[in-house]
Amino acid sequence: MTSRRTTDIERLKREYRALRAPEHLADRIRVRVRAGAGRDTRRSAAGPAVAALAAAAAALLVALPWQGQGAGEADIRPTSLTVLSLAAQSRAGGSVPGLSAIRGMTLPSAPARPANDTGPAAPPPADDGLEDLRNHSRNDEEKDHANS
Amino acid sequence: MTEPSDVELVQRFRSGDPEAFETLVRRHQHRLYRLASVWLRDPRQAEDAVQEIFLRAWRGLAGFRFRAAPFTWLYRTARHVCGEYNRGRRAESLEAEPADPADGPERRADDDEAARRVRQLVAVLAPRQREVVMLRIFEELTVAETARAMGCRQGTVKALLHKAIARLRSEGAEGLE
Repeated sequence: MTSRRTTDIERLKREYRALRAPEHLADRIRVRVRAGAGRDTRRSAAGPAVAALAAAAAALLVALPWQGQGAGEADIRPTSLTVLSLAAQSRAGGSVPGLSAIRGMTLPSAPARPANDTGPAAPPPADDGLEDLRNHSRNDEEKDHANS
Repeated sequence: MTEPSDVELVQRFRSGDPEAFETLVRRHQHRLYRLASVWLRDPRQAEDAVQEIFLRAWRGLAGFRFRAAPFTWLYRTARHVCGEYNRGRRAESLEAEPADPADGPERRADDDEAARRVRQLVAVLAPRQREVVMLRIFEELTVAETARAMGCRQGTVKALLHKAIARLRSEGAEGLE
């Protein structure tokens, strides 16, 4: 026959509820939270990761209007390169440029076009040639009328 | 004069009253200490764990949105912190401070023994049943408070408690209603 060990829950509960946190714990917590609060403030003020993220976000904001340009895809490239170079600078641990510095940056201009390059083909005007034809016809009519 | 509620204390703390936070600490430190003493494999870490819980509360209650009761928030933080301790992420003591003379080795031994016996008792239960027994039976929370702390329905608490009591009785526990 096996003897089963019994546990008086009510008695155990009384013993358990007699457990109290040490007297000094509240004071210790008070000291720690106040010290911790100061440390948190300093940490967040000097957070380099936050600064790097802010710089990358600002660079993206600067780049976005350029990506909206429809004509001349090549014009986007310098802007994208600028963002990449900023990201590389942040990773290398170098000084992160401030927002005002990023806004003040001038983007490299696109390469100069050859003199005979007329650029992207412009859409033909709606009355291409018709006006000349009309003028020509009008002049011929005037001449015929004068000769008659 | 009636005691301010936990919600009022949190509101006062958020308005810049550190005394309100200290009242919260005094009100809940013993309950959290008891729970931590049972949850932690090394009950001597309970003190450090309670300190860590309130450190997180100090930082986190600034953004508290009152979707849960403050004790629920503290309880869930306690569960999380004790889980970290048990996974060994906080093996070392947070701070080496001289012990209070009133908290001598004899008192610690008694505390350890009570916590050890409760831990041994609930060890046979599934984790959720363990939580219900700790909150409902040992901490004497209501069914509604237990449900809020555990983030479940009151019916779930009752079902878990029913199964837990049956299991504890089969293990020789007496005095359970």
